[in-house]
Amino acid sequence: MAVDPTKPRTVLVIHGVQTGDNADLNQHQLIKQLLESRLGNMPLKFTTDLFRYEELNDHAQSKYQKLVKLIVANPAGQALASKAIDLIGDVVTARLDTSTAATIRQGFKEKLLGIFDAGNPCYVVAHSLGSIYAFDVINDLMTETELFDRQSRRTWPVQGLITLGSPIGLSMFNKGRKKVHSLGEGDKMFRWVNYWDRTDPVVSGKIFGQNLTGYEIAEKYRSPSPKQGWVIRDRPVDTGKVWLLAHVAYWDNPMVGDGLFDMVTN
Amino acid sequence: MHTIARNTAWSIAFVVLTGCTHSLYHAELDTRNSEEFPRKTVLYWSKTDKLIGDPKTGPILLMTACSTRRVHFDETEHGVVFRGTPGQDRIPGQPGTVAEGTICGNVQSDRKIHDLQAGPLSLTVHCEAMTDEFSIQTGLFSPSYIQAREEPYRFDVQEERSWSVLGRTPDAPEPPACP
Repeated sequence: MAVDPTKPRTVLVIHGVQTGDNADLNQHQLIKQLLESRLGNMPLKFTTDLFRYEELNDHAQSKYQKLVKLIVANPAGQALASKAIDLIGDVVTARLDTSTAATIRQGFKEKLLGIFDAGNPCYVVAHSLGSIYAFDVINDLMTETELFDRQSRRTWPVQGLITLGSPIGLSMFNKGRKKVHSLGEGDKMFRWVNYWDRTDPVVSGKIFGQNLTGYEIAEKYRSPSPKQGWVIRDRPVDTGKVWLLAHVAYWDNPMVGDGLFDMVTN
Repeated sequence: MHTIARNTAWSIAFVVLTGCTHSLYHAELDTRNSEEFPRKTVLYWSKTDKLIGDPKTGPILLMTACSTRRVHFDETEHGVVFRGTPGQDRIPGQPGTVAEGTICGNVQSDRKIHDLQAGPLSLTVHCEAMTDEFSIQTGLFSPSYIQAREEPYRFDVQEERSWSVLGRTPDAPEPPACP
């Protein structure tokens, strides 16, 4: 199997912390609109797709949801507690490296390999907690002998990674993620661009969304060794919104769109 | 009467505390790309100011007509610079790609994007785009961006200001059309 650079590009989106179920998710449509809005008059052939895993998370959390219904009598309280479990449970699932997390990683890996088998150049856009899964899976794929030959991008199931509002800088996600997998000798570079809003509380862990400067997130993974083979950029971006609104404001940001255009066309 | 006054006060406090001023800075210039073709280049960035906290800005984007590259000027300890991407940028006349850490251009003035204002802005570009088999080159489109040169480019930056409660997505100019 090999990637054919003349085939249409695929942008695969992996979502983050979420309420609701898989049917509620449409981030790949948002990314499609964003990229189309930044093409100008360039006739770029591309598709977008979404890896959904919310129902796996919901299934893992179902026993807690039942418990809430027994404990909380008030319907409004039940609804609120249910949403909280849905959101917090997603984070716990990822952080504790549970079997559900392993299933999510395996599903995402299979999705990537399916696109690879079809020969389409694939670019990953990962939001929030999805960036943790994307990081793990891409680094895992780099350990496989047939994939990610540094000299040939045709062997790369992923051509580049864009993360949006990633919590990967938080200490709670450090375990097992101390460095990226080096690609070895060669001159091709794997690109990772991390967009973050300075007041996004999911990025900083600062609940009140304090404005951060000088904060290394993805760039802490940079190595001076030429064998690493990664180009890593933290890119603070003005989303125009504050606090939690900033965390969900990347999807239609033109500067993110221009960064995506730059990556997908090269 | 007291209720009306209290509600009015709360409303004013809410609007003041959550109000944002949005500025779009943009400029365009007739330039040449590294292949010597005449190409329009558009520069832009945004800034969001709140009553409390520092403004949020950037990055600065440079879009050259018919280019598949978007050149980013990021705020770094060296100022506002275009950080070359190994594998994608090179210095004209030199073999191979730039090394990590190479500065391919810079904004010649303030060290912070939020200090930049409307009016004259000078920036330099020292690198040119490299291609590989994954670089899309269709019709007139190629990675080639604004030409590297020693003399700075001088843009006349315009500002458009607007206001919102709770913020809104920044505007951006359209990428320059490829003729």
